Amino acid sequence: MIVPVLALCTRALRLESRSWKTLSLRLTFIIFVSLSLVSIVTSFVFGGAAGLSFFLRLSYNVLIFVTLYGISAFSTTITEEKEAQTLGLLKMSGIHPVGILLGKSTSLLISALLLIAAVFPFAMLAVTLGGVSYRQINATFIALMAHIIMLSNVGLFFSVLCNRARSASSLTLLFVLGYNFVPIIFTAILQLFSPSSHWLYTAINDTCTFLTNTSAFTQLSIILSTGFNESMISTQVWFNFLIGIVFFGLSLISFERFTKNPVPVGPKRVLGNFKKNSNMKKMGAGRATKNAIVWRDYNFIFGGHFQSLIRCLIYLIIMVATILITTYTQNWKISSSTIEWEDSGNFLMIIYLVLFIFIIASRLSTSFSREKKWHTFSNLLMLPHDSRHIMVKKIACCFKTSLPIICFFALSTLFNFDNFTKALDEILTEPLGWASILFTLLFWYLTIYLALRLKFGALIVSLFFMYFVNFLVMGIIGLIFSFDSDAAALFCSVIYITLISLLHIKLIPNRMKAIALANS
Amino acid sequence: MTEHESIIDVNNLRYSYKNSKALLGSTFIVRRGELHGFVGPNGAGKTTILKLLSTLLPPQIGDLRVFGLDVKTNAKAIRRRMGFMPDHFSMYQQMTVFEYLDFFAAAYGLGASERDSTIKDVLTLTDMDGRQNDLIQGLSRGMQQRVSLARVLVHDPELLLLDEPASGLDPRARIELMDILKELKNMGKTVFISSHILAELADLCDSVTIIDQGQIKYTGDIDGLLQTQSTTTEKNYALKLSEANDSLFERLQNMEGMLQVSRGDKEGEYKFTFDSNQISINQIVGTISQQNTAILSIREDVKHLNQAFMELTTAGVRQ
Repeated sequence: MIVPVLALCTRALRLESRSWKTLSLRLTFIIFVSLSLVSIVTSFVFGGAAGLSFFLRLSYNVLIFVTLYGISAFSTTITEEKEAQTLGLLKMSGIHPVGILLGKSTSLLISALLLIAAVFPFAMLAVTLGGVSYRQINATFIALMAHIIMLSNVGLFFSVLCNRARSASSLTLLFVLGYNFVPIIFTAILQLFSPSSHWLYTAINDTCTFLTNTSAFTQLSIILSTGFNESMISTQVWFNFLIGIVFFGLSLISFERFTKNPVPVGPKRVLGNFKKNSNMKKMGAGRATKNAIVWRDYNFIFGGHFQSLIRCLIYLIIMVATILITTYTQNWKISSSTIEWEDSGNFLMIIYLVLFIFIIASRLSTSFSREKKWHTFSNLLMLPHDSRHIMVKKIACCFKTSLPIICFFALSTLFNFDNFTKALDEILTEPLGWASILFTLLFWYLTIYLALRLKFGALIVSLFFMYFVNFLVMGIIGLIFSFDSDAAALFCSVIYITLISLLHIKLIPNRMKAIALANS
Repeated sequence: MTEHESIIDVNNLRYSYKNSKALLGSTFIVRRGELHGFVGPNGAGKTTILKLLSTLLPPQIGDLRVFGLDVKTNAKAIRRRMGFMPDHFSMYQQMTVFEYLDFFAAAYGLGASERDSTIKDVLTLTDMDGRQNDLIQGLSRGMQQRVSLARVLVHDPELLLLDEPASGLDPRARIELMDILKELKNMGKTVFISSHILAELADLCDSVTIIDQGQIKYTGDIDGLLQTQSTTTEKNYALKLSEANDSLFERLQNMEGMLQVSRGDKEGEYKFTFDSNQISINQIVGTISQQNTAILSIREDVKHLNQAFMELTTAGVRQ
């Protein structure tokens, strides 16, 4: 069995090492670390524990980065073969499922570990800068590795379970959020109650505390606290490793069952085919409209009115839950008759705004990557419109699909209209407000470009790039204009406008044309 | 516009990719109403020319005009009057046939009522009546090819560019597709069809262009192609004789100008290859008659199109 595993692993590693994308990813990562170092050294030029501060920022950045990378990369382990219809060939060649699972996942795992290894020499500099010990650095890297091993096997399991990489990465993301953040939220909610000796209270409390302590995010804060003297192989390391083994076992058990039938080629119709029921027919696609591209994307990529209705229900649940939680946490009692409209409005505005930004980014990524994946750009670019026009229409459709959340946002502003107008006034009159709007636009455009460039994980990589831009580039610009925040915001705005124009006029249309050519 | 007006005018067209030269100065024309075959082996440069004609690829060197318009500066206007069917199936699989055609008709700016009649017409033309509510992903390859053809027809284009439309189709689907193409020609459309099989287009096309390694090897009508290839003095005949003996066989072989005599696949059939400058078929017939052997049938083996294609193009696998 070892020969096929090695063959699969070697092939994957060869492809990885020859790919310019992998190399540029590592290069970006190293540039990011170098700039981080410059930023920290400049900040602490007059003293302070520069090493600890640098390493703290570095390790959390690495943790976020590998988590984002892992969510998108590990979820493709088996789905990639399923979508390319090559899994059947692998199985026919007589390789045992363990061989396929190990061969496919090990290469990605090595790739992720190499990303961390690239940062290790920089981490050693932190010792020179002071405030951090070798023990802390080693413990951090061991914690990170355990986290990656867990993530790779969770991703592997969902990639066995799902037919599409997108579904697998969504489930992996849910696991990451559930494992790292839900226990924290539950613990916070439990603290609202008076401590109880009831077994359920104790069980939930203990489980949440245990899970919180075995999260890599918590473990890093423990390691990087002053006077860390615990074992480098912590409970987090053991537990993450154990979860990894369990999920690998689950992948193995479910492999045959979930890879028995080939994945259907082509996109699935997300729109209901309502022919017989006349009432439901209104939920169907209907006739193509004058804005044919918007009509097509809205109905056949984003599920049309039917999916919009489901989204409305989700946003309504969010609204009701937020109002209840706000009222409840304000008054400590669920029976309170006073609903906290103003606070609820504030919370809802923030929730819907953040959701809106990410939903648009997600829709843009889906819209453009589907076109690329199903080789349909050549059809679109043969229409008597230029590529920029087609791009704008596709973007317009993403905004159309976001109309429900825009409506719910508008509704939530009514709960605290004064606060909304005040915030709006600040955003529109302050250079920083405009810079933030442009920053969001750049995030969306970058997501489109990456969706056309990458096979998977465009949104996540875009998010990482924006994080990088926000904390480092803006940080450095902030240092240059240290006494004038308006000037810094204006300077940033100019940079953002330049990048947005470049993406809108040149990079995205050219990429669309290149894909259309390759597909025709 | 006259019937003989050129719809496609390619003059000394050159195109290079990063690592290779795809076109080395191609020149040919396609006239209005013609069904023009564009033939070449794999990697000859057919798809590059089609991409250039369809305005997906901007020309580098040379002159390329479609409907008399320069493709560099009139891409949008050309696209309105042209339909391009690439060789890859790039369809919206999750749509029904009607939704698919409705989308493209709307994208070309047709109104709802106009779309209804157009879609009905193109479905009838492509023999897809009654399949309009079928999901595309459930259709066979041949059916999807028809839908693809229907799609390029929805805006009633004057020129159709079809890249290997028959590839992957079974013989019946191929014949049916060719019938549709003949119908389109009768409707006055100009059809530019690429293929790597010359014989497939021989009965269909008015004219043909043969390309190999980025160079045009022949452009003109099919008869002209055979004549071009028939410039040698070598002739091939097959004769069916009532009987034959060794002495006749030897006598024929020893005739001056006779290059080869061999037995054919059928009983009593003999094949002769000779230099027509030195002897004629009449002399051969006379020699046979002198031996009191009856000639039951006589047939000239005309050089086959495939042979012409093989002679014009070079051997080997291209990139």
